[in-house]
Amino acid sequence: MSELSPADFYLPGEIIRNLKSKDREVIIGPGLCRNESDTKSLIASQAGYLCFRAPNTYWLEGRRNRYIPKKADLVLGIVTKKSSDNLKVDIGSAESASLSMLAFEGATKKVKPDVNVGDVIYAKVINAHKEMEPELVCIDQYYKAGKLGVLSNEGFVINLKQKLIQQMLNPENPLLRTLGRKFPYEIVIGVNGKVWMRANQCKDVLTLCRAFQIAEYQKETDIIGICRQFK
Amino acid sequence: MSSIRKTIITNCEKNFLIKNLSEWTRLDGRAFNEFRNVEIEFGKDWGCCKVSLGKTMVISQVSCELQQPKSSRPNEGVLNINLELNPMAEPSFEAGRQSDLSSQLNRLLEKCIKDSKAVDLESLCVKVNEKAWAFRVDINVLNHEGNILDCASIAALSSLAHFRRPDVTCDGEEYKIHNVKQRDPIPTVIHHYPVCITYAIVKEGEYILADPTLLEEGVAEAFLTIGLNAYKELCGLHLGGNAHLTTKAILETSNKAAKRAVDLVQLIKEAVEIDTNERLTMKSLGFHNTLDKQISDVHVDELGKYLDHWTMDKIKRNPKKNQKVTTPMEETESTEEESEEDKSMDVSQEKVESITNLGDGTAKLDISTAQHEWITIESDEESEKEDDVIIVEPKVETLSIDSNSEEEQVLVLNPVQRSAAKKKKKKKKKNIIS
Amino acid sequence: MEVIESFENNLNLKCKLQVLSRADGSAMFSEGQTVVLSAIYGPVEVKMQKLLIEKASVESVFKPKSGLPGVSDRYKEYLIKNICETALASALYPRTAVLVNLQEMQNQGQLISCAINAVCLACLDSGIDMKFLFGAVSYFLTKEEELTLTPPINESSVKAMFVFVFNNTKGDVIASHTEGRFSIDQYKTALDICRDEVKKVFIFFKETLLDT
Repeated sequence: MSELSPADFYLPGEIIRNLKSKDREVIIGPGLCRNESDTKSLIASQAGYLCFRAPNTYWLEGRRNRYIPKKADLVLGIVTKKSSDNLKVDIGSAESASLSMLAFEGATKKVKPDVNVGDVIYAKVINAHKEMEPELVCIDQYYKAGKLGVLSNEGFVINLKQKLIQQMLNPENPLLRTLGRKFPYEIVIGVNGKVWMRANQCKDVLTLCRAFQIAEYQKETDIIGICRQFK
Repeated sequence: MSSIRKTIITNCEKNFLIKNLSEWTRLDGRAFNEFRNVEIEFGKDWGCCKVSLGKTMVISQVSCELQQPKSSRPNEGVLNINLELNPMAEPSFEAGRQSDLSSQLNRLLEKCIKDSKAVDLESLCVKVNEKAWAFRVDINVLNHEGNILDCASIAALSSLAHFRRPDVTCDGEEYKIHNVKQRDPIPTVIHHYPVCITYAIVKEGEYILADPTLLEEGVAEAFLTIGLNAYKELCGLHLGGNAHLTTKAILETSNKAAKRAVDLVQLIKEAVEIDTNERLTMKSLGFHNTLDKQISDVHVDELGKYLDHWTMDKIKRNPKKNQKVTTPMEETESTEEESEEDKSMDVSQEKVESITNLGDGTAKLDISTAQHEWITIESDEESEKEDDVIIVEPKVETLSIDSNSEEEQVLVLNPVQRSAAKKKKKKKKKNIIS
Repeated sequence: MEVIESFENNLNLKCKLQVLSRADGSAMFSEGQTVVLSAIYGPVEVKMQKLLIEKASVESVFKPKSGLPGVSDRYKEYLIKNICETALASALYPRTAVLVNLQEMQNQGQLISCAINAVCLACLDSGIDMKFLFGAVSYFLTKEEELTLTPPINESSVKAMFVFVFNNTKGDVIASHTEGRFSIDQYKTALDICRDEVKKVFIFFKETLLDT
């Protein structure tokens, strides 16, 4: 991450040239689109730093606040509406996602999971097409719930910026581990920016909340530096 | 209908908040009777100010025009207060349309400021039955993080106090309005400053929270809004929602609010005075200048507190649970309980104040100092303590996304891409460079 | 929450991002003594009657500081809506809405260009996909037939005002707005000068974003 230099910073509309690629193929991630007039270059569509992963993947590390559903994302959602066989779940995207009552482990037509409006759900996006409403499931391909499902009402939910979420999901990031050395806690991080956590005491949860809210405004290198002091 | 649904408050947020309240903490670390920080900034024009209460932010502007006074009150000017719920503050607000919330807030503001005759309307009359000034206060909500009303009332009063109307002369027939350069503009006469102070009532009156945040507003059952001026005169009282509050509790709360009102009025007066003095020195003032001011509410080293060697220790507040009094009928018993509760509440109150070392009854509750509930453990103590501490193995659970078969068919074009998908770098598009 | 000021810039631009906690992107932008606050929500849920099947619908709201919104404010909303529709990559978000909110904070003549620049910064802050950047410059023609970038202190001495909006790819004009009477030559000079001047605006945008 340290190689972020101002030269790699692009604004929407700016053309990115000199692409390194194998077999003249390039995979582009968020924040980039192809340049129709000159196919050897790309155009940035967000403000951010250009990142490259060998051999041919490019993306822009920018700021993104509103969640856009992507297939296979693990998200946290809030149940907003409940009908007999379907749930509407707010995952922070433009349209609320739908979650079938049958998409829980062990659920059948007769045995339905105990879900209420206002519950928090950890689910996987199974279908995310921009022309359709996103679809969630709480089971994997073997019909097992794993970690997915309704989260306990004992916890607390906050919203965090995408930047911090990406950092926390990185297993090498020391922030969660450093906090874990202080007290035990459970945390569920959805890529849509919602975070659920639970600890033995309320004050521990509050400590977590505040630590994350401060970390939102810090650079990743600073966070790592601070964490290292408390090893 | 609003285009965007309001985000609903989850059950776990509700539970957590109430659980915290039972331990006498609020989520932002404030005491129950503690308010968020108020900041008043003035714009370049007269009568323009931006007020923020915590993260809630409003902008207020006073404007005036000459018009014929109302026939029922020929010797008085007119004051109109208009609060706009700008969709900027929350997308579920709709521009230019009256909602229940906006008409309620408008009515409360009017009741508090206009009906209490805070502004001397008679001085706004130029000639009886012919010409009088009509003042209009426009308040736009910019960011909604709870308690719009208090913020708006502070903004309305500060902008009214800051405003200067142009001078006007009459040569028999024609009225001439002089611009600022020709004649000095005239400040408005304000008799008293009635501010609104809102309390949220949670769990049937068990907890009364001053200056509720958005989440607290969502969980609260009722709101008690008290309009008060610095002389402890009540200018409006509104209890909305359904909560069983005893008269005693209301009186108590209004006593606390009175203290707050004194502070707020002083704050408004000071802010206006500072600004007027700076204007006299011909400095160029306005929002464009304050944009330079670096807001440094977050420091790098602050994160350390939460990671180690600082522990959060609550100030013991009222260890006894408050007894709720359901009906005013059981007076003999309940009053005793109430008075006990009073004492304990007062004790808690004084504990907060004792931190600020301003312990007597009229002293102000300094928010900035009272906020600190962090207690450092001395370094030697810490080393002692560390021996006892069992380091719990961090429980970091990461879910690896097994690229499921369906996914692979659609997405993965080569092995490299699969690893990229695992890293959760959004969906990758394939692009061929010819 | 960074404040950036480029000193070589005679337009005297200042900006603060992320001023509002609720909005997806927000910017307080000042140009001279004109200040505009702008907030972007998007892409969010759309009203049924405004739903577009192939792209995001842009809704803009401009709030004056005092009084009810009038015709001129509706005009500004329309202008900004048009600019956003061309600049945002709205085809990426069909059946959604992008809400653009503007609040006048202080007006010293450059309100329109200031509002447009504020919207662009708020868009950048929100991380919404854009085809290109847009930047606006105001230019004034005084009664003495002088062309100036800074607005005359006395409003009555302005004979005409030009606002040009350019994109950052080829420097094309994507919107222009004029008030008052002027000759074609004056218009052309104003256009050329503004095209040079807008480059500074884009540099300012880049500096602002880089430091946050």
